[in-house]
Amino acid sequence: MAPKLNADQLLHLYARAGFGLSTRRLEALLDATDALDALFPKHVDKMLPNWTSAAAMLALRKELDQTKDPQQREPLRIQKRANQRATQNLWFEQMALGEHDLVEKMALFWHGHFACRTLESYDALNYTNILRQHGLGDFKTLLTKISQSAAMVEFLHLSKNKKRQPNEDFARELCELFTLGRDQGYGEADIKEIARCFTGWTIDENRAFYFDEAQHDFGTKRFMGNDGHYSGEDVFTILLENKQTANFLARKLYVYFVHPVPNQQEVQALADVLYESNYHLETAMRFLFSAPWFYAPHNMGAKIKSPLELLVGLRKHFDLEPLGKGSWILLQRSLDQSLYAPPNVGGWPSDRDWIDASRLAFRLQLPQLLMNNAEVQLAFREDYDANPMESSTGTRQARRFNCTVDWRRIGEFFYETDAFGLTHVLLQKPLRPETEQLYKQVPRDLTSRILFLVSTPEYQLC
Amino acid sequence: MNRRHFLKQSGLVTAGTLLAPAFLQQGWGNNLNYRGKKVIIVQLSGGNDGLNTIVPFTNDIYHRSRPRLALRPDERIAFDPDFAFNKALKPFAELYDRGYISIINNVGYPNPNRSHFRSMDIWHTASGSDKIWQSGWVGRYLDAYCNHAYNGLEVDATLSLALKGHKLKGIAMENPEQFRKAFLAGPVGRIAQQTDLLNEDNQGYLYKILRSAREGAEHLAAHHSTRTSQTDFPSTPFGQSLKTIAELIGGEAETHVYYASLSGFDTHAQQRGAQARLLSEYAEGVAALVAELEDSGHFDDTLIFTFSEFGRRVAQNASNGTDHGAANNAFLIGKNLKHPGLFNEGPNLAELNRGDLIHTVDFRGIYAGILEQWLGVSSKVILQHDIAPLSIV
Repeated sequence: MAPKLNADQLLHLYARAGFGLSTRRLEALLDATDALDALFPKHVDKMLPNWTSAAAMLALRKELDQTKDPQQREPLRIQKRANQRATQNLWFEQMALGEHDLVEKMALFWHGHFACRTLESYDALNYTNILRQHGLGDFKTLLTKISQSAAMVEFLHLSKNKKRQPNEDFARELCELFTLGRDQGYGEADIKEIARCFTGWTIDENRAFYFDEAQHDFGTKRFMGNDGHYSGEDVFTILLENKQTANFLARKLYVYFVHPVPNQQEVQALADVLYESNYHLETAMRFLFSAPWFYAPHNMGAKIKSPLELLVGLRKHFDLEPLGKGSWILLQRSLDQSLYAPPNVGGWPSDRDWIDASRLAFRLQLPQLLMNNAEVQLAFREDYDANPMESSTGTRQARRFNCTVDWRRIGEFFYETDAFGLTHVLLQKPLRPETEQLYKQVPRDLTSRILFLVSTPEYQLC
Repeated sequence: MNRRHFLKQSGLVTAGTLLAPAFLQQGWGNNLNYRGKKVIIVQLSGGNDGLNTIVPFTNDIYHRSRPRLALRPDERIAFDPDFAFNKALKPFAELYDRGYISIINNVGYPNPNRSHFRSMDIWHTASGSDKIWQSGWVGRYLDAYCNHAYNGLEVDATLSLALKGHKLKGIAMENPEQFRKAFLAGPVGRIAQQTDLLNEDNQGYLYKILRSAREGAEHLAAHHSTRTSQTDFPSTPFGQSLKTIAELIGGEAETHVYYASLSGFDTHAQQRGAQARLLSEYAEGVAALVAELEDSGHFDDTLIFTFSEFGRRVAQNASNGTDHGAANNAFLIGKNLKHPGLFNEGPNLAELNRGDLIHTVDFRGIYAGILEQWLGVSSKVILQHDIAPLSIV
């Protein structure tokens, strides 16, 4: 039974396990018997498209594969791109409005861990649902399902991994990025042997995993002191038996959920729990969120919000619904973090890597520009790899997002009480004295105060 | 697939500069040899087709490989028995005639990558093809030898990886006055005025960076010489960014390295017109830049380097365009170049690697030359690579 948490602790917990709290929700959680338990649901529903069906997306993919004539392909490709954008928007909305904060936050964490780029909406939908439905379950199940997902199979060229010509991409990332970490007692020869274990792993015409026996190398493989006729699943077992995988995962979880500079002992404690529970993620996360050190004051407000944490928080708390369908996508690009498009297999940078003078200035101005429905100067790089025809003019534009902001409604969620003020709830770190002085000079109406607070550097922390 | 190593930024810099690795302490914050030299890096994004830029027009293979894309005599300006400029480069050709240009051929790196993103990253970080680094070469110069973010300026709205160091990251700003107005307005501007001592955690870090944004905007606005210039820069964003650079140099801004880019070179289809338009914009831009720098008396102290993340295939494709290739030419523009003209031998079209040109010059040698001979600093530590500098100035 988790200890009862006070306001500070709840705010910190939900800043990390979720995307923050409103005053109203904080008050409700203070009254709850077990605020921690609420983070771990028994069941997670699939995220489903509301403009089409998954089956229709798959049918479109098949039709596109079979249509050769460029003129006939064009409307299909337009539909495909529309589906992809809509799926990206769907996930963003899910993160912001999903009932279970931690499920969505873990999915975002896993997206960076199992980094994958995809432009196929059907694959993207499945990928996201695996992360959401298994992100707090058994890690081996999560690892297996992601490795067998169409999105990952394509991204890491697993379907090109054949008996006579093994492709090592997947084997390498499996070891370096998904389990052990770089240079942890394995070399090129081991990667080659591991690649052989995964030969024949491919997807069928329904984008489902298919084991092609004819392409599988059934011979003996020798790697990292192991010797046998290993299959891909056997490799997962072997890698997880190695405590180093628990160490590697624990460190990543710590840096993401606790503090950018890891504490060795605390990481070790988490690794032990993870390993001893046979990589049961809920057990590990309950441990993390119950540990006294998680609530140490120096951990509060210690992280710089990733762009998605910032944007999702704005959507969630201020009910911002831009008129244009592509708006959140443009903002993700402007802040260099787009769903389904991490820069490379390593995922995204973190913490201070998100920040330089211009980006910070942009991030500081953004919340109040959105909430005032003012013009936002967008700017991001062309992504020629995704679209060789991308025009440069689209990448720099001044845009009004036409968000209808209901201040009265916001006031039902954010307000001052005797116990805590707006700063307490909106910010995870107290304002610096000079900023505090400026805040005191701001007119006392709710709108003015919130607009000031979301413009502070402290609002960029979580 | 080659082994890749991650040099994560957080692994190198922990809280407090005391723990910064020894190499960053070399000349910590001070370039003792700095004599006011400027470097302007012009990036052509998308992979410019080098063979239709500097045309090997006497080479049969060129014409055979590009039956419809090879430039005709009326589309090129010969400057050498064997080479001609794309006609769109006319203003550039004039600079060449004055001895202001070195054309470096066959520039690339081992195991070339044909993804825009990866190859550009490799150029920005000066990593090998098999490594993924999180800091840029100019950023590491800033770390080792500069004290202010504005010592590195990208005249654009977003900062490239090239200018991101571990300790210092350059400023990205299209226009200092406009930046001040847009980003330092309202509460943010007031918050940015703080001068108190900052702690080392992320809260302190954000205030520190905000302060450097303000300082950068103030310094650059103060040194932005907007005296009416006689020169006509193209009115495009690229042209205007070069104009801003010229004005900042004219105004004696303390920026060592400037960065600008021109996009659109990914000409997979209908290359002829698209490339000509871009090359024309490029040529007019740099010609105006040189003219303005000469006028303000700063051309002697300025070196301009132009590159693209890769060249394109020798053979044209079925859409009258070209696909991603490897080695390419690169240009240096300056007053006192060591080897004006053709720096080295032209491309070898007979010996290709999978249809692509093979590099003979590693681009890091050019970076090393810029660092050592122009900026007067050691290149080995900044590039994290021991390479002989090209003799450029």
